[in-house]
Amino acid sequence: MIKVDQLYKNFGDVKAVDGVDIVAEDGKITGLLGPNGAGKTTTLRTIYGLQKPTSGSVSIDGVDVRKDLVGAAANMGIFPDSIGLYDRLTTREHLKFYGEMHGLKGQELEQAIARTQQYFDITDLLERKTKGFSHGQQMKVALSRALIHGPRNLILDEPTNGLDVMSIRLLRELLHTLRNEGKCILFSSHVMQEVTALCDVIYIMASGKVIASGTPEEICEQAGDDTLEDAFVTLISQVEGIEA
Amino acid sequence: MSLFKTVFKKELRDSLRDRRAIMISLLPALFAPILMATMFHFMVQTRVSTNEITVPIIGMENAPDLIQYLEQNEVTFTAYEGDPKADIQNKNVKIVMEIPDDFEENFAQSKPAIIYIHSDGSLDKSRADDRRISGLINQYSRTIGNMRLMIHGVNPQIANAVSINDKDYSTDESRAGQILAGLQIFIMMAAFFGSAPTAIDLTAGERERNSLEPLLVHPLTSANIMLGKWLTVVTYGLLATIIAVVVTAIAFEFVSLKAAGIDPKLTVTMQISMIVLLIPNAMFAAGLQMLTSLFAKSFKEAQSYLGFLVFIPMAPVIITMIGGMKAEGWMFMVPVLGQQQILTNIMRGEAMILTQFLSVTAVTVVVSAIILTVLTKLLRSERVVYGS
Repeated sequence: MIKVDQLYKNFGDVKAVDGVDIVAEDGKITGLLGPNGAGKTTTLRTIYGLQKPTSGSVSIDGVDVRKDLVGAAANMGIFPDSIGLYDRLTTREHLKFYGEMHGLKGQELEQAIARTQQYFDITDLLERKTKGFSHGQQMKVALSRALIHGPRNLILDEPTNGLDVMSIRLLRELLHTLRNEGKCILFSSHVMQEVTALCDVIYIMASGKVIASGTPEEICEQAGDDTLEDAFVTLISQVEGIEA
Repeated sequence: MSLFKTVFKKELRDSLRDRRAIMISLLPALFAPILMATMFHFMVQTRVSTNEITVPIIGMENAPDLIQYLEQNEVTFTAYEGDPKADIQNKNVKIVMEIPDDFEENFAQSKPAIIYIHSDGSLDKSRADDRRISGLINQYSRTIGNMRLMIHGVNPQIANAVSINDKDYSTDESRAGQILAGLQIFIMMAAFFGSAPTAIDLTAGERERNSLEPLLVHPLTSANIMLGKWLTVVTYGLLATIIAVVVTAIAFEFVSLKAAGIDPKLTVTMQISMIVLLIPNAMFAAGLQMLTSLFAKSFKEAQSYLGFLVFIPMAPVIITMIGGMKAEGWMFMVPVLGQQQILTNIMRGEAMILTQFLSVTAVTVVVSAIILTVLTKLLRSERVVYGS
C-alpha cells in the first residue's frame, strides 16, 4: 500500500505539488490522471524517494520513504520517467544487475529472470546488447527491470508511451494479473482511454493539486457528466479557468 | 554492505566493453615512456660527448706530435679526402679536422700554426666534438707555449693575466635528476589520464544516458553505489600507473643513459615500491575527477573540465621542480607532490624514508576518503539526479 500524506514540493516559487493526498490500496490499480505539467511525475518521484518533499510524508507498506529509503525501495518496483539502459550490456546482464541489487542471487536470480522474461516475451532480446533497441523494446526491458524482484508495490510513470498496440495489451493484461495477485499498482498517464480501461481508482491532478478522486463512476457523478472524458474536461477547466 | 561488489562488477564489465575509452585510458601509459626513453637517449648521446670520438682528418702527417697527444686523449682519426664544407652541409660527416701543409714549418718557427676545424654549430653532436677537440688542442698549445717561454727564461705564469677557476657543481646526479623529473611527472599523471574516461562515464555519462534515476530507485545505499563506481575508476587509474611503471622499466633496459651518469634501471623491488606508493595517488585522482564530472552538465563539459583539472595537483610538483626546491617536511603532507618526492628517491635507487611514505600515504588516503564521502552525499541530491 502506498500512502501520500499532505505532500508539498516547491521549486523556488513554483508549487509543483500542492498538498496532495493519495492512498493506493493493495489489489487495486490506482491511476494518476492529469494534463502535462500537473505534477504527476514530481509526485511519483517523491514517492520513490528521489525528490525530497518540501513537506508531507510518503509511506510504502508503512515504511516511511524519508526515514528508510532502502527499506521502502525493496518493496517497490519502479518504472521511472527515464528508461536509461546501458548500451553495452545485454538484456540478461541488465536483469541480472538489477536483480542482484535487490539481493537476488544464484538459483533465485535465474528463476526471477525466467519469470520476468515471459511477461513481455523478451526471450529473443535476452542475449542481445541493448544498443539499437527500438523504443518499444527498451520499454519492455525497463518494465522487466521494475518487476524483476516481484515487488508488492508497482509505480509506473507513463508506462504506455511509445509502446505498440500489442505491447499495450500485454501490459494491460499483466497489470490486471498483478492486481488480482493482490499487488498495489500506481501509475500516471495523460491518456484518458488507458486510465478508463485499467483503473479501479482515479486521482485527477491539475496544477499540483488533486481535484477529484474515486472510481470512474464517482468522478462522473462529481462532475455531473456521463463519460469520464467529459468529467475530466469539466473538472480541469474549473481549476485552470478554461471554458469547456 | 556487499552490494558495492555488484555495482563494481557491472561497471567494470560495462567499461571493459568500451574499447575506445580503454585506448584513451591506457595508450598514453604504454607509449609515453617509450617515447621519453627514446628522446632522452638521443638527448644524452648528443649533449654528453662520449669519451671516445672519431674525427675525419686531412693532413694527419703534418703534425704527428699533436696527433699523438690527441690520440692519448681518446681521439681516434680516420683519413679524410673531399670537400669538408659540402660534406658537412650534406650531413655526410659531422666534423672535419684539417692540418695545412705549412703547419710544421710555422710550428718550428714559433709562428702561430693554424688548424682548421670544420663543423656545423647547429648540430649538438658536431658542436660537442668541436668543443672537445678545441679544448684538447688549446691544452696542447698552452703546454708547448709554456715550454717555449721557459726556454727563453720567462716564467710562463706571467702570461696568465687572469685565470678563470671554473667551478661547475652540476653533478651527474643532478643532471640525472632533471631527466628523471620529466619521467616522474608523467608517471604521476598516468593515474589521472587512466581514470578520466571512466570517471566521466560513470557520473556525467550515467546522467546523460538517463540511467542514473533508474539506478537510484534500487534498494542500496548511496555509499554502496558510489563505492562500486569509485573502485572501478580507481582500477583504471591503477592499471595505467602499473603500465607506466613497468613500461618505463622495460624501456630503460634498452636505452643506456650511462654516459649521462644516470642508471635508471628499475629493479622489480623498485617497481613494486613505486606502485604501492602510487595506489593512494590513483584513489585521489579517481575521486577528484569523479567529483568534477558529477557537477558537469554533460559528458563533453566534463571532458573539458578534466583537461584542466589534472594541472591543479601537478602545479606544486612543477613549481618545486622549476624552483629546484629541496624536499621539506610539508611536501609530504601534499598529495601528488609528496608521492613525487618519494618517487625521486626510489628512482635514484635510494631507500624510501618510512616516515615520509606514511605521512603522504595517510594524508592522501584521508583526503580521498573525504572526497568519497562528499561524492556519496551528492549522489542522491536533486541537483545531481535531475539537474535542478
